[in-house]
Amino acid sequence: MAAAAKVQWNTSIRAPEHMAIVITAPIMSVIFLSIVRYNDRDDLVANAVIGTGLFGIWFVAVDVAGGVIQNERWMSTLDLVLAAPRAFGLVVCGRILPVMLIGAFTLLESWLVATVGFGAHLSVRHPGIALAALLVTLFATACTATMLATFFVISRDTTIYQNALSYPFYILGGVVFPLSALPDWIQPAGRVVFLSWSADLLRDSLSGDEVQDVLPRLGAIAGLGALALLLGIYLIRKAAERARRTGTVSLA
Amino acid sequence: MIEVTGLGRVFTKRGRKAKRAQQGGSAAPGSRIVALEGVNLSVPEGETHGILGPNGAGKTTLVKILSTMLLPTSGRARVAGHDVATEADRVRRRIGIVFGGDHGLYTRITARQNLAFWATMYRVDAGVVKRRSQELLERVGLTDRADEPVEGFSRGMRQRLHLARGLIGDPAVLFLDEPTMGMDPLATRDFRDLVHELKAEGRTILITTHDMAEAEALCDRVSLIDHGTVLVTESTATIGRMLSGHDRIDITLREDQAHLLAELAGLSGVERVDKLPEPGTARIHTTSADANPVVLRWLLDAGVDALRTGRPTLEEVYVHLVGNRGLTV
Ligand SMILES: Nc1ncnc2c1ncn2[C@@H]1O[C@H](COP(=O)(O)OP(=O)(O)OP(=O)(O)O)[C@@H](O)[C@H]1O
Ligand SMILES: [Mg+2]
Repeated sequence: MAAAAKVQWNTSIRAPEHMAIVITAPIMSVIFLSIVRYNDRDDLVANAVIGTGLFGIWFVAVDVAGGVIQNERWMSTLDLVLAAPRAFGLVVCGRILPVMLIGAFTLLESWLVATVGFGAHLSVRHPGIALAALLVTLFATACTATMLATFFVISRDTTIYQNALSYPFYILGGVVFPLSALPDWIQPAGRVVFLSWSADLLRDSLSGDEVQDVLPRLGAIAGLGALALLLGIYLIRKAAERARRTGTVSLA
Repeated sequence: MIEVTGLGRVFTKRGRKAKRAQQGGSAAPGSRIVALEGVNLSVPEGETHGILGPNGAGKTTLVKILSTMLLPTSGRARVAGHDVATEADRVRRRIGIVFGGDHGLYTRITARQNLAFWATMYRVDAGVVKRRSQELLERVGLTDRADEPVEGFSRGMRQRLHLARGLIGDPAVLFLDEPTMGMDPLATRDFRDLVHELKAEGRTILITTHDMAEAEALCDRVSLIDHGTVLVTESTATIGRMLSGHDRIDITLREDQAHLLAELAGLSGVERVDKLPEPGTARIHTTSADANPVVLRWLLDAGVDALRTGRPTLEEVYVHLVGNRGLTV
């Protein structure tokens, strides 16, 4: 996994296509924050900032997951990498991890937009918890995106999946508005999406109140992430088996 | 080391055409491509075996099945003692795969970084990765460029890096699919030396090619395949004899020499004379290499000075072995 991370790191510093989000994220922040301002709801500034940040993190992850597979297919390494002894899922996850830093950067950006651009007062009351929540979230994101990469192995057209898989996560993940704002029947589904735990915990770490159950909540994020990674490795294996049967791995 | 019995692979074309055919209720024969059928092959440990065949013969498909990239649709194959379909993981640890062409490498990172990555993929001990990468880079002559990104490499250099990549796991069985594609003559020669070294180390090597000379230079035995079936498996020496037994002489006759054709056909040592498409040209097939000097002398005496001798190309071996359908894909 570390080896794959190195490949991606060295690849990304030479041509970071996934940097696009660095430009779009601030624009999104401006939109969200404008809505907040227009409605005189400065209490929701934190939501907007965290929302754009998580949006960015998730977007980058899915983008890279699809990109990795597409790229491997174009370079005809997908065949070879699937026929190597080590699990391909680890390669995918390893390659997503370093790019997560770009995702984290979008969080910083929307923070800057809020404080500098909109003059909002945002203070992190529990910086330790916020940082821990962020790190665990980055890990879980990479793991979950790995699981989604299964679809990219099966399908030759990854962009469809990239879009179709993104939006449900934004909603179920309580990224922009808290999960409790969703209809009752849909809330349990949101609980199994790690992003909803991340969003809640990050929001709480900004507020002044005592944050309850920090460790279990961090554990929930990490646990859901780890589960996704295991499932991802398993599903990719299955997808690879299928591709071996149908002969649809390479483009040639 | 490689045991193949009754191996077959059928591709089912998907897509609109095939679907329509299915909806039409017909069996849709056009949507099935038989890439391999009833292939039997046995390659003992330490042998270098050549797979020869024209485009679309099924060479790559065979290599893909043996290297666990593709499942067979019928028959069985064992590599290094393990079934490629049911024990793929075990097979993967013992093999190396090299495809021709300049694909299959991470182009934005350096040669050395590529090798380091593939070393982990092949579970090479972290302690030996550095040393082995360096060794392989030296072996394929890439040390000077080892720390440059691969995107700046020429085809031949990529091809050599490919070979190093295939060797990173120290494989007992090596699959080479048209490995000299894109290499210049010098690189090809170095490559052949390298294959000889690998063979001397006791590795079993399966190599596909269109190039008869390459097969002759490298292989202990060769199999000719066409339309997904093995036509013949022979030791290279035997095929070589088969070849020299069917040398040929191409001649161009002036108009006043046209009568010579009939006389030639009756000459001893001449198997037959074929007219070639160019007016006035013909190809003389001799019965054996020994007959060539005799026939050549006769031609010179008769005043024929536009002539060319040559060994049969792969195409002619094909025509000879399977008749004229040989190269129609
Ligand atoms: N994934 C695939 N899907 C459908 N048909 C395929 C697939 N792969 C190969 N084929 C078909 O199988 C046949 C054999 O192809 P293969 O690539 O094995 O030939 P080859 O001997 O390697 O040819 P070449 O010399 O051109 O490399 C061809 O008719 C090809 O079109
Ligand atoms: Mg081929």
